[in-house]
Amino acid sequence: MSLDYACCVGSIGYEGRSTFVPRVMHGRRVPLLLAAFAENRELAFDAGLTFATGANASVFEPHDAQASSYSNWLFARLLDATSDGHSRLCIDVSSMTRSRVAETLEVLEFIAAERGHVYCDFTYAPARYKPPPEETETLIETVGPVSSSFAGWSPRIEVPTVVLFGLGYEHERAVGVSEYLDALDAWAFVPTGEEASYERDVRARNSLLWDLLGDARFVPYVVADPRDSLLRIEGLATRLRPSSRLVLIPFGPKLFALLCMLVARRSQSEIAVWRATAGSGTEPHVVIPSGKIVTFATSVDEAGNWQTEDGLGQVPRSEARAALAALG
Amino acid sequence: MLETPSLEAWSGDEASRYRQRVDYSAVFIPTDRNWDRQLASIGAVVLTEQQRALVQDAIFTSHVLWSLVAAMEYRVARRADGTRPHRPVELSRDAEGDLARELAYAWRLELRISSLASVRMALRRRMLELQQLATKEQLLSAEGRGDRIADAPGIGLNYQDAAAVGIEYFNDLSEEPQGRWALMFDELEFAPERIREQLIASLRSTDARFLFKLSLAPHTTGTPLLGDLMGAMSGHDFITIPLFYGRKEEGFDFARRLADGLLARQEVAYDAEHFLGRRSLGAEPQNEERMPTNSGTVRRRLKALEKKDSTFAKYLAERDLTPDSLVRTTANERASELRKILPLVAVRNEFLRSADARGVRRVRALQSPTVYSGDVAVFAMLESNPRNLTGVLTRLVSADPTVPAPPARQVAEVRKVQNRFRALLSTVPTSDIPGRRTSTRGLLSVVDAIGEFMQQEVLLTEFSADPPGTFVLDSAIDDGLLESLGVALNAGAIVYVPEEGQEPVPNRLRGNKYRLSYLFSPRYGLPIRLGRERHLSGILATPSPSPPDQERLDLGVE
Repeated sequence: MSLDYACCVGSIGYEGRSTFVPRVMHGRRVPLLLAAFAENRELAFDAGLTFATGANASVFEPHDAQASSYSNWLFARLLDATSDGHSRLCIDVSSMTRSRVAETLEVLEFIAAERGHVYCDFTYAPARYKPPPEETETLIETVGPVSSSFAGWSPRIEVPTVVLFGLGYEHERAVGVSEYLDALDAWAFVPTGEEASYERDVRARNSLLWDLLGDARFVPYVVADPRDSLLRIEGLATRLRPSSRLVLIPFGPKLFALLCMLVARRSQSEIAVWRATAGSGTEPHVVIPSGKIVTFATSVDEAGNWQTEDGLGQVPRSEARAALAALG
Repeated sequence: MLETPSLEAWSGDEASRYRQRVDYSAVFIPTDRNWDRQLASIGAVVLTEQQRALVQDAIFTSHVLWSLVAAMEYRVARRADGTRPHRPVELSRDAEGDLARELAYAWRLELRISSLASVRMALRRRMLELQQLATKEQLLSAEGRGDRIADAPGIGLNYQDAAAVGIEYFNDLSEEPQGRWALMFDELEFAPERIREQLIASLRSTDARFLFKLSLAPHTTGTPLLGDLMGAMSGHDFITIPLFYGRKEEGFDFARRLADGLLARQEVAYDAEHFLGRRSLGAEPQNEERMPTNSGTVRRRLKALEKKDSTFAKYLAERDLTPDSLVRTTANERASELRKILPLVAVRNEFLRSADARGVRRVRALQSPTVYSGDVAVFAMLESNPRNLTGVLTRLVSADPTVPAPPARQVAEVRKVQNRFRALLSTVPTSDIPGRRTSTRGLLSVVDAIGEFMQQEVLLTEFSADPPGTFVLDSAIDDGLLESLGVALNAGAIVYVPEEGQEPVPNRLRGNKYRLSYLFSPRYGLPIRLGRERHLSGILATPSPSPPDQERLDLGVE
């Protein structure tokens, strides 16, 4: 398989999996653009930074007084990377924050406006199963649109707000946000297919929501099948849109957050995408990749229209295993 | 409920009377948090604050006018059965066309068809176009931006002036020159601050055709509370109708009628009193009628506590009372005493274990403490909130409509409401309180601090007929915490308790008395009653219970 990526965009974070896909790409001599975070620079962070240095990656350092914003940095680097006509990018969302995913999409749209068309293979490395943390009630520090361009806009304020959640380990956060928005109704997407224990744990962490909504409002989606998952989200959103103002709130896997943002974009930005994060209340914890890499191929044109594509195929297991071994 | 469609759909006993009483046309203008964030995001990237304000105001005006036109359309609509119970207007198609053209001219709209529906669509288009204008500016240079925005249709149109013109046209055509229109703005705390200020200033409007009904949370950052502002005087320029009840009894009439109506519609054979039960042990009886009638049962409860709780025994002895004498009494004073202590006896009986060998009392953690069942308790815990009442009753009826709802099930359903509410409160940050994990638990820390303090006073100190149950936001509370408590007030986590002669809605936060929502009563084992007041700063300064006493906390959790 030829992996002809102009570059790979990823993160350097406390999660071990943050550099998993970049390591695979580095093995193919794909240039790396890796963005560090200002907080939680512990656990696997230093090892990630060391890898980035050794791989000659271009690194965004928020602590750098000379640095402009992540968006400006990424835009400049991608403009450079695509200057020779290369228009296929690898974007690893595994350890991105939801805000970073949003910013990345916005930058990709600007690049497409410059270059005419950009192909983006998004990758996601599921984590090895771990039981949920013990903390229960935590302050939700930030609740609101994931960025201003994902606030959505519908002048039909007379129709009620309906929320579509993606669920994860966030304890009863979905219920809290639903109450915050005074949503008339809610649906919840539940990640399946990776690990039966994970599904069970997600249900237990959201038992209030389950009790409130009933089984019929829970839609399973397979993390490893993003194309089908996108269709499920978009299908439900299309059905609900005529009679409601939709807000998508993706907890759980970042891949689901990406899919929600793409659905929002494909709705001519009528649909909003929100986040509700605990911020400083959350302790960093060890996150090891399972070894799988999920790939989702898309493209965006100069008018900002997103489409699914066939892409370059999945990452061979041998390469994933080698990168996993390198992570130690 | 005041809008024409709602008044016409209402089929209750008093519907006809109210349709006659409502002698104005109501225009419902909603806002909500979602819309507030969307409005705030428009032009956030490149527009200046002033440019954003112009665009946002134009969108808001379009929204008001859209709602007005929708109300007009309903008044002229023809029903299939020919009946129109509330303020119908006969308007020929030509007259409607004239009206539409006049509105379009006044409001600078482009019409495709001369009809009110077309006017409404044009206003909807305007809201979209204004948002698109702001978005497009991200791709355009700053040069000329000010002019592009100033020239956009709808910019600079004031909602009240524009609405006044529209109303005048309509009133002329419908031959109601003095026809009144009520602009009902919902959840105004989510409207931009300057719009809120304009609306509140409208309360002194001299245009007799306008009524303003403003729904507003009691504490709104940046806007003076209603009692303070701009010389408007409560009772003269406006009337305040609180939708919360500091004293639980104030909401019971409404709650009962709502509950009875819901049960009747679901064809349940019981009214609320019988479906939920009259026996609400954990709540102070609101009158003599509600006192327990079975003296044997009351005597047993008093004796049970006297045996289990030596401080209660001491309380009785000091007053020369016994369970028998309390129950037998007909004297007003003693009856009043009994009424006051019954809910305290109930919760102490329910939650306290007998003292151990060292004389230490411990508290039981109960899944569904049934002292909190019964109509009075359920109404009070749900704060007579129609949405919560409807939700809980619907679920109880769904479980089994053929028998009265079992006490444990009632309490379990109320606890679910409580848990959802706590999930909502986890979205509210607060400033630091020593000894509390406010940085990670936000407002929940404050609520728990108050609840745990009251729990200590009610359950674990010497028996008192008047333990603390309310608190005052005193001067020692810092501004950051005060702001968070304002949010708590708006959310309903704390409830204002006005003293006699005070305004029903607080005109400031500090210095007033509040209580925790009764929704938290099962969680902390508190009786459903007001109690003596304490300064909040003193409550928060009380150390949090130490870990070995953890079982005293969270009495109603899973």
